[in-house]
Amino acid sequence: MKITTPASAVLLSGLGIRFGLAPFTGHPGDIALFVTSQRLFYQTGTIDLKYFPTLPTIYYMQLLFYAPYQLLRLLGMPDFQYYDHTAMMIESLFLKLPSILCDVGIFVVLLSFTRKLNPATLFFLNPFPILLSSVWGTYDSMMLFPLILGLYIFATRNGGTASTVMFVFSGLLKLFGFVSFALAICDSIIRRRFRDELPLEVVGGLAIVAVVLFPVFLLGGFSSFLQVLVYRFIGLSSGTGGTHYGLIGEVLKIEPSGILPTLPIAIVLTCVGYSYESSRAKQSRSLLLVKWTLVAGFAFNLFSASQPQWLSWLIPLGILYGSFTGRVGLQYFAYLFGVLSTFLTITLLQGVSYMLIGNSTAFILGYIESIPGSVFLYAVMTTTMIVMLCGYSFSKKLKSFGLEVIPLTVLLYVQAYFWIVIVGVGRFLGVS
Amino acid sequence: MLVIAVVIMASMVVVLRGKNQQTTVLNVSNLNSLESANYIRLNNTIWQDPLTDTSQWHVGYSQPNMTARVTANGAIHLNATIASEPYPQAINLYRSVNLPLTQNPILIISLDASVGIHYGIRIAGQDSSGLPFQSWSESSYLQHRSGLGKIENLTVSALVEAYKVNGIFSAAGSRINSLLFYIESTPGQAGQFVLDVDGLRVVAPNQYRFNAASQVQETMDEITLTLNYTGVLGFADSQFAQGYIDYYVKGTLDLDYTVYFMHGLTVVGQGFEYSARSLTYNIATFSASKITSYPPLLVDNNTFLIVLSPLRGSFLSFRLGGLSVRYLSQAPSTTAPTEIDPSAILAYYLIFLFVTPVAIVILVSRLLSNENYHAS
Repeated sequence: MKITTPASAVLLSGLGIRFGLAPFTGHPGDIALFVTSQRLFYQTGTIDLKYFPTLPTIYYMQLLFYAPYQLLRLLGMPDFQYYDHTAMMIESLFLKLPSILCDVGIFVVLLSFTRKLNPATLFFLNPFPILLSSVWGTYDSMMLFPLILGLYIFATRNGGTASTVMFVFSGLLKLFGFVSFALAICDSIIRRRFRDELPLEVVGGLAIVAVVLFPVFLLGGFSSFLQVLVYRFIGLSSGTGGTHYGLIGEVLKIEPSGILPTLPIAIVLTCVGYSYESSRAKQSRSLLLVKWTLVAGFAFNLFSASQPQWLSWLIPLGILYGSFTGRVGLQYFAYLFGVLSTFLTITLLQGVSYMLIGNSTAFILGYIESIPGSVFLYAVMTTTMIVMLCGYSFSKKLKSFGLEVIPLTVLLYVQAYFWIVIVGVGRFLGVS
Repeated sequence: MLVIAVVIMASMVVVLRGKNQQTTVLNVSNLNSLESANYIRLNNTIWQDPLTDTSQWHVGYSQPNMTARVTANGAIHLNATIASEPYPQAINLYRSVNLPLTQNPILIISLDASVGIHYGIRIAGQDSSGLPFQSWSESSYLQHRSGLGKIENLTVSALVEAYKVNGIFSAAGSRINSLLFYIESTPGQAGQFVLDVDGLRVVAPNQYRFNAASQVQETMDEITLTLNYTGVLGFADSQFAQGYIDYYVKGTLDLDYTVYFMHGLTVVGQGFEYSARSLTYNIATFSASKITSYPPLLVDNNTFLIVLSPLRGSFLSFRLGGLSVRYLSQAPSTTAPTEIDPSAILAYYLIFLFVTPVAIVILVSRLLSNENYHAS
């Protein structure tokens, strides 16, 4: 595929923005975890898989991209400390490089998939993916790239094992990717591919997972891997942060004492929904796969112990689904969703100064950061935005995008700010 | 092309492993970093008040017109009538004791205060030269507590409380000589309130060594793991980044505990709260940003310790899996930064994160409305 001049301009602009932000910013806590593991490997030879805080595939990817940095350092390249950040400037850039390149990959796949520059631009220049890959330094793009690529392969090759392999890789970078893998398995079952595709997909998927996890098992980290990642993700363990309903729980202040396996229920319902619609064959299978992966993204965000970066999953999936169904409104609202999610995350959850200078004790924007009820305000606004995104995804009346939605969204924030922060309605209701 | 790039980078990973000089990271890990493992039992009573005699107990009032009655029958009952006044009022119940700090006295107290009233415990003593010292502060968890109307069990280390207020000082020759309970009312509060001291004894902690790699099955009031790390490479406590410890643990039904990482008497890191009603595998993380409290018992100092300390209940079984304590040249900061001018960096942030991307999107959307991208 040849990239046209406008697409090249967008690509270069997006890369310029990312490279402009990456060395000077970072989430000090998360970056500290990653940089410790990499430095331990290259300075002491320690393979830090037992206590690595997330999936081992992230560790392998970071090892690959950190190696050139180490070589440059050995050749005498200097690096510099910027304020209180836990990684040095060029080091931070190399740690974020896999995610930035995956952003580029998603841009290219969206371009090929939709054959339009607008949807790809709405993702690549969306502040939320920029925030996550270049500022925060988290790795959701690394999961989304093989996921979107898998959806593309599924659509262009009418299913097949290659797309399933992509979904497995996606799941090995962040467990959400396994939802599409489960849907692809359902698809093979519905099409009765019991002799060729299905066994290959299941056995191949399990084999890849086993190969990736074997070093963790070898280094004695398998129990902690299950405890910290798998059980917590599917809701069978409270992990370290306690069990709650995620955004809905924050809004309604539901704090159950026991475990809540909401995600297995969400995955099963998603598979049932996909299978039902697919068997009726009113829409193309590839469109249904995008649609039900998007539905799973909504469910994960709303009903589980979700994290703010999970909101980014909805952006490329929403844009893709909007592009396939002619929902221009969904594509533009997904962009607005990203802008507001960025604003809410950096002001209400992390603090502007935390990711800018690496220190959470200094509030730069006092009126919108260090405010009472900030988490409640975040949960109310984010839940509202997700509900609106749901409306743009599935309502027949919301196919186009009116510019009045932008001031409406701002008004929603101002109203929520007034009632929650100034009036303190959360305190009266006992939810904040 | 992509495959070649991956092969080159993978080769670099293999070749460069462990090649760089160790300057910016330190990892104290594995069982051979462990000097000793001990558990503590509070089973050695060195003093006990039978609470059958009020003659050792005295009552003090913040206002002269207040009244209270003290009785004893295996528990000390303070029954106070408080009239409404526009200022706070307090009634003290105190006695003298003689507890050498070198014995590391731990007070095991059971008490019950009426709902609606506030209460607290204050400990005082004198050092080897006869100078008095306080072992309580206004911010302590032992002050201004809300009465629950039911029995509460408190474990208070006199040594820890003294250190918290006075910093490190020599315990030799110092002793605790006063123990005081109080109830206090807020302005305008009136009524009859009760403070019952149902149990009061002092124990000296007994420390037992065990093999951390093997399962130990005992009633344990604290578990301490002493590291043989001696500060190599010059990393300071402020550079502590993150710690992990994984283990199999079982406790009493009411066990809630947390993990501390200590350097001498300083808490360097703390973990979340955990429970372990049945035998459970757990991996606990601890960091400086989670520090909210101080371990209630102290048995060792001038060493690096990982302490598993119950908030309630006791451990019944423990086996260590592994541990890792990590330092970075620049750890996540918990202190206020030096003065900065936020306007320039904020402008940079907003321009890169919001203004430029949104402007380009608006431009592209206007230029390419109704576009079709043709792949060739």
